Amino acid sequence: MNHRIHQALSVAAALLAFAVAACTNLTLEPKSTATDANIFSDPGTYKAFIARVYAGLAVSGQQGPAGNADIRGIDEGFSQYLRLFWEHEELPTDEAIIGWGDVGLPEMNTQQWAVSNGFVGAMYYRIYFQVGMANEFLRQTTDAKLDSRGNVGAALRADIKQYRAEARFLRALSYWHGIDMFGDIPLITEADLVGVVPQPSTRTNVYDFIVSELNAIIPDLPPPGLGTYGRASAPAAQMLLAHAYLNASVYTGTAHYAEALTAAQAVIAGPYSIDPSYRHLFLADNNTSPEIIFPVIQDGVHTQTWGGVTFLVHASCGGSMRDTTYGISGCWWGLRLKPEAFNRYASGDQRAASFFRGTAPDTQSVAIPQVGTFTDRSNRRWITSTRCGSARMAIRVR
Amino acid sequence: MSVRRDGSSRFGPANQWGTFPAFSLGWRLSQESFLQGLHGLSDLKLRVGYGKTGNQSFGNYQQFAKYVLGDAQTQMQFGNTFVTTVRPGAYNPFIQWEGTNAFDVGLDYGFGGQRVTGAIDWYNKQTSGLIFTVPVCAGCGLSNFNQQNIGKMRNRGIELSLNAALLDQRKTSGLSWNASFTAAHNKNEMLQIYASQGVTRVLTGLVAGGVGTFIQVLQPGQPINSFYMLQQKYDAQGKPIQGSYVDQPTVKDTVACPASPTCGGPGRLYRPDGVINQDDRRPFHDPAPKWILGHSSYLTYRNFDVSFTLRAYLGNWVYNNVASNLGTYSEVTRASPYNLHASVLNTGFTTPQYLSDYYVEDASFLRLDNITAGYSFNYRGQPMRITGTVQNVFTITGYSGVDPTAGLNGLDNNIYPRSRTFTGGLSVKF
Repeated sequence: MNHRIHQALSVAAALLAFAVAACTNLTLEPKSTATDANIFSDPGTYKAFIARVYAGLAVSGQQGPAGNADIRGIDEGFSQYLRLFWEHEELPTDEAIIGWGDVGLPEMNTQQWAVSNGFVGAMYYRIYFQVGMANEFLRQTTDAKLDSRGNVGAALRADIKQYRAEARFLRALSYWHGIDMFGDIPLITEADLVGVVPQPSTRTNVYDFIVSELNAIIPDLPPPGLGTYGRASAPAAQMLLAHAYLNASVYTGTAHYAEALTAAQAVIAGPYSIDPSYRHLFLADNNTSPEIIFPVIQDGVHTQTWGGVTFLVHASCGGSMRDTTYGISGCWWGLRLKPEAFNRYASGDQRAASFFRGTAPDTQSVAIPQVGTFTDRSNRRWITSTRCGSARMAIRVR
Repeated sequence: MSVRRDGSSRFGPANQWGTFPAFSLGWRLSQESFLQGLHGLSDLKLRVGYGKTGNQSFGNYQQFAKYVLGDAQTQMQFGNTFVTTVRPGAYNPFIQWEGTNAFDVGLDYGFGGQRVTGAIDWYNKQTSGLIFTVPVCAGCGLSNFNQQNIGKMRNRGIELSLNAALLDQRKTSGLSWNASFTAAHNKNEMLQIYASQGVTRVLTGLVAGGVGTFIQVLQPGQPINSFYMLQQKYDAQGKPIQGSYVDQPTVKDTVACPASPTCGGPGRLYRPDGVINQDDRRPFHDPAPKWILGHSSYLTYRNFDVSFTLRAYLGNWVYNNVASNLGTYSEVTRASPYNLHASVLNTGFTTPQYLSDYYVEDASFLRLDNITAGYSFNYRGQPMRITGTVQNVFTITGYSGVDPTAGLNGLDNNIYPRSRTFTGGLSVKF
């Protein structure tokens, strides 16, 4: 009996010792979950990651057109970068107006947004989502990290060098949107740890950062004409630089027009020209346009979102416009051209023809007496852009 | 008395280990000589307990960025190929144990040969390192939400219970009645938001319908998840006026202002700023019940038996999100109209007023959760029993939504009434 107790005790002690030994090592990295500790054992991850930094401008999550969203607290389709950017650039101006009543949107039309506005907040978070992605990419691709992984050959290293320049370009692009729309914003780089509250910075500081970053990466980006479609090239960085310099007096109080000119001339010297057909810029084959320097590519099959061009095309269709005419599966009855913009065209100006007026008796008026009244067909007071019809659209670096 | 030391790989590298001591002390007063003379008293025990517990009930591997592959519809075009993307998720290398220090004083009692028993408890629990998934500052992480140790909170309360055999005449008249009563009172208070959060309050409670509209708050001095609302103004008929809210005194003057219409009051340092905005929101009630009362009874009379359970919550407030989201005429004028909520007949709102405290309602209730009646008998020598049960018999409440208990954490988005279930049964023993 005594012997058996001893036996049981020693077995228990052995088990306990094993248990203690097994469970105190908490630094084990997860094996079953893809994390930064294991995913880079696949060298293809670097390309997939930089593609994701680009995708931050084009999609809203990891499932298309919606699902597994990048940012939360707002409808995922509403949160898409290009959609928010377009709304912030256009709705407060005399160009466009949106007819939906979602909380925060009517205030965009009338320039009455407050700090609690969900759309303005989402734009801000989108910018810092892009900054965060780019920073994480840069943290994961330092020479020290690449050396420690031991599976990065010379060819991949050269690719990664260019990827890093592209991540910095995309970060500079979003920072430029940030200082343009929000003024003084925090400057967060790959040197700042995740989880630490950032220190406030100034518009001037962030501007200086954008300029120095762009100047630093231009040598690492493909020269004019040698870039890959969809990816940043040296002229794209030059164009962004020109935009930043052009507005330097607003951002910092000091004008830099000469530098803006130099940067713009560097772009003009490249293989770009004004597209002879303005309309071509808005068609599905606009990848052949000579005017586009940096596109945010959308694709009906591979790159789906409720934002981006899907939003621009569907939302600007309504009234007596027919969705089938524009090759889309439904009008969203949202965006309308303001009369102030339409009336800028002198009578006879060809460009006015690109806006939908309808044909009798289904004409639509230029005036918009009621922003939200889309059901009022009998009055036909609706006008919109014929920019519908392209399944893909590119923005020029503007 | 015990001490345990736990490690969890869910936490950040520097914060994986926690030490959790506990002790308890009991004193059976009823066995002391000075209480021996009391004949009615059958049991009396004083308990004192202290314990620290750790909570790690949240997702794994918070210290690592989890990488999620994109699907075939979120690819990026590089040249003529489409690249599948991969996204690192939000991570928090600093996350640590949420710990609760609990102190409890209790008294167990019994009278009349344990015919009446019960307990009285008073507790004080302080939780530090409270883990919440909260909006984080832009640029603090890889998304705009993350799990964080945000602050400290305290729960204090008393719990009372009483079990009694009120009637026991099985052998004489055949009647017996056992009943139990419970009452619990809790007071919750957020004590502190850590300075590392960079904010003085954290918004929670995302409502349906709004575009990122949060209507609850974690704010020191207030119960957690207090509603954070604008104070609605009403007209002479008692109808809420759309977009009209009380301008709270938020501007601090250097000297107490004299009595004047623009002043918050004579001698007050704060006055309204004349603008209704985010600053005019104030904590307004909270979803946790102040009192939870319970009663269950078991009655028998010869071969008949009846049992039921009653439950009441007092002082639990609910945000009626169904009303705030759909109780507006804009629901019928938009491109795809939807059914209106009846509250629009009272409010007449033409646009949603998500932040109005009109929608925060007292959802106190009394509910008969279930009642069962049974009859036991013998048929041709076989013991048999017939039963009938009703679940969710009735609810008495002043709440305007369909179910005062539907609001998860105080947000009610439920449009289906709780079902009432009738069950009949016959059991036969062979």
